[in-house]
Amino acid sequence: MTRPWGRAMAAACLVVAHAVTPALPDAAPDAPTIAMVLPREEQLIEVGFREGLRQRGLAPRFELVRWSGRAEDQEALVARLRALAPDLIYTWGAATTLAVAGPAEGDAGRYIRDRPVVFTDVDDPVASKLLAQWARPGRNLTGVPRRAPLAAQWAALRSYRPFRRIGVIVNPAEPDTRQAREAMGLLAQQQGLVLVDATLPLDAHGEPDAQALPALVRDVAARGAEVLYLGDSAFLAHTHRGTVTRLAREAGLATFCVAEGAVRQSGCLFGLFSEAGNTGRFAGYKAWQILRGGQRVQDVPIETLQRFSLVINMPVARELALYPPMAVLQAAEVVAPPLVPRRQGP
Amino acid sequence: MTINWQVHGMPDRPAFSESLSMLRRRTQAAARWLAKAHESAVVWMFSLGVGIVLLGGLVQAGYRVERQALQHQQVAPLLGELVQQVEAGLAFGATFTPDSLIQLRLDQALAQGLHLEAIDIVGLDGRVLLSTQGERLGARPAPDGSPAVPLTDATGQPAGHVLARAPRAEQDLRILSPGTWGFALVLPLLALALALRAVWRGKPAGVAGTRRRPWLCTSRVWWLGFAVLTVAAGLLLAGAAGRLQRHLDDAAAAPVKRAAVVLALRIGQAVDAGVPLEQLQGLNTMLRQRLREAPGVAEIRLHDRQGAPLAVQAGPVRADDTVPAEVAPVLHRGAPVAEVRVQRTPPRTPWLLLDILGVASALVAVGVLLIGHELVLQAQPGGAVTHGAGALWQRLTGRGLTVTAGAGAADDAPIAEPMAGVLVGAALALAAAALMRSDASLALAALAGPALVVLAACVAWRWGRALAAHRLLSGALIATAWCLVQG
Repeated sequence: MTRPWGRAMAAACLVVAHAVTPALPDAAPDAPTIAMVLPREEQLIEVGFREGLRQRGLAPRFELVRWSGRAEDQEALVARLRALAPDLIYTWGAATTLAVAGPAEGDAGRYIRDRPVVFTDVDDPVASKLLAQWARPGRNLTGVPRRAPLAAQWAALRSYRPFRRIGVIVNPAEPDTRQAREAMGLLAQQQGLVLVDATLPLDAHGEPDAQALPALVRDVAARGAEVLYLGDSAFLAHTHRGTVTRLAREAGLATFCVAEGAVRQSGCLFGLFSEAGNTGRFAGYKAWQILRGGQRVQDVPIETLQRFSLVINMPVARELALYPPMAVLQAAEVVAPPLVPRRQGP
Repeated sequence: MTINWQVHGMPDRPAFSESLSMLRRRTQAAARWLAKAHESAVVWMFSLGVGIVLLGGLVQAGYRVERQALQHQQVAPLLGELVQQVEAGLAFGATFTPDSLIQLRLDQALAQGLHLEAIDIVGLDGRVLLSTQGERLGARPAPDGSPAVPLTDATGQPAGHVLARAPRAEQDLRILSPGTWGFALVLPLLALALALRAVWRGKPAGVAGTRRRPWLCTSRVWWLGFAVLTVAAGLLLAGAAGRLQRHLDDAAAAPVKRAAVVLALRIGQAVDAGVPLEQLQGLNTMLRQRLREAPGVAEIRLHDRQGAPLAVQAGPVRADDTVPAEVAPVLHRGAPVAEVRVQRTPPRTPWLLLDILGVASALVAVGVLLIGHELVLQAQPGGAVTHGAGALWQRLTGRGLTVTAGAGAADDAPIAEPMAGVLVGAALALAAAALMRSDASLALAALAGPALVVLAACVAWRWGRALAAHRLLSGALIATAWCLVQG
């Protein structure tokens, strides 16, 4: 008896607040409908998505569907989308995309499998289990991963200085960092570089131990690493990015970050990113290919941008006396966020 | 009576009568000469006129090719760098708005001293999205051959192109004014007048119907025609070379000036970004790269405000001390903090164009004269006279007139044929050089002369002057082989 009520309550309480965006004034009567599933307010990436469609003369009706991010709301989300019956679904982030389209090997009945889904800001669709393999997705899913390919990241990293010893910290609680470590190991082997890695210890609850960070960073520096690579680790590059980058500065280590915020708002020296507006525009182009270009979603490749933004944190460069080369400066954006002051003394 | 006396007899004034009679005879003789000469004269005038037009077209084509190549050579590096900056701006999310970073880059590029009128970014719909001239926004620039480089956005999709427009005066590729052209075309008339005067004074009237040497085929007339064409070609070449030299000077100076401006700008940007002047990383690499890429740059120096050198890079060619160095200040928030000094190499004039055009012009002149010579031989066979263009055409194309000139006629231009051969060879060698420079237009220009000489040989063959045709072709082949071996 409680189950239907529970569902009803879940639907009612669903933070999937549905806001019907008014149709654009120039939307044709036969204009397609796009459901935009977001766990937050619309941002620059969605503006880019709309612009990417508008640039090609397509003015669809947009239905904004808010997603709470909670697993228990996933069923209601899918039900809501089925009721809307959009021509295409736009999703932001890996968690939202997983909630809508489900993992590649997931139960088809629980997810949307009969409509094209275009995602943005999924760093690694394979690691996120959205795809079994990059080469041929073979499902109702395409999109634009935000992260630059590892080879491009390393090329940018080595254009700053010819670093030969690259430090990396693996968080066993985040399997993605282990996969990244393996990929980096292969690349380092190919390029004749040395990977100086360290593993975060886990506490009694299986959570990474933040208290171990100072010793870990100092250890990486002591073993001769010249730069610390901060990859897709929520623990290192988001939650504790201020601490990690400060520790690296104190140890005289340069830092290269995959997360844009770590450079723009924290103490990471530099990083290579996809600009949000361009990512959205590219996703808009993919949506147009499906809605008006006559292509099946299965045939539209998942691909990153072809050009990335190199962002340099100049206060950190000044503090480390590690100024960017002239050639890099020509292609980079220089930012100057306020820094967390270094601790004096040992 | 008075009239009859005046006409038929002047017994008491015989000197006057003789004078009148002489005048009448001379007038009649002149009329006969002119009647005989007019067809040949028309043929010569036509030949010389066509020759001058051909020479003009040849020189004009060569000048146009070289001028456009110079324009492209000057603008291409600028556009290449600008496109990189614009695409980097697009990757950062910059848009085509007048207050954007991209607009700043366009304005900086225009200020690099390349005599450009404007730089536009043209969208896929052909409209100007951004321009250094605000009033051009939204306009549709007509294709006029201005250098353009395609632009792609961060997704790899076409985003339009960057267009550099030269001022209208720079786009004018004519080398000579209509007045000079007119003067060059009057030259054949002048030559004909001189030739007729010479013949009138030097040769009495021949007996009608006798087989004699056509007087307009004499060496004197031939050389006069050659002189006329040479003077015309000289005028045209001098006009082209004069104008081209100015552009060559500009083209030689432009990379030097641009190197100074661009380096100062980039160093200023680095200093503005917070890099101390003394700690510019990769500065020497950038100077070396500029030294390698910018033609005519001998040495680049960066000095601080006190004149102390911060970086120096010199190329293999010694700097030309007679030309002052290009100096560009490095600005940090508007105040000069250093200066870039760029010294140029001694100027080097590319002679290939003038070589090709000179030889090709001489060859066109010889080819035109040879063809004219053959036509005159046909127009005046044995002193016979025909009237009207139709009759002349029939004579020239008639089957019955295979051998119309005496044996002496073949020797009228004994020097022309071997000379033509040498010129054909030289022109072919130069055409090969032009082809190796991937300059098909110049190669075609160089081949125009040989084509005319071969045509002259065909004409000679057609009208039974097999010996002349044989000498023309064999001379051309031998000379070609010699020039190619020497080359």
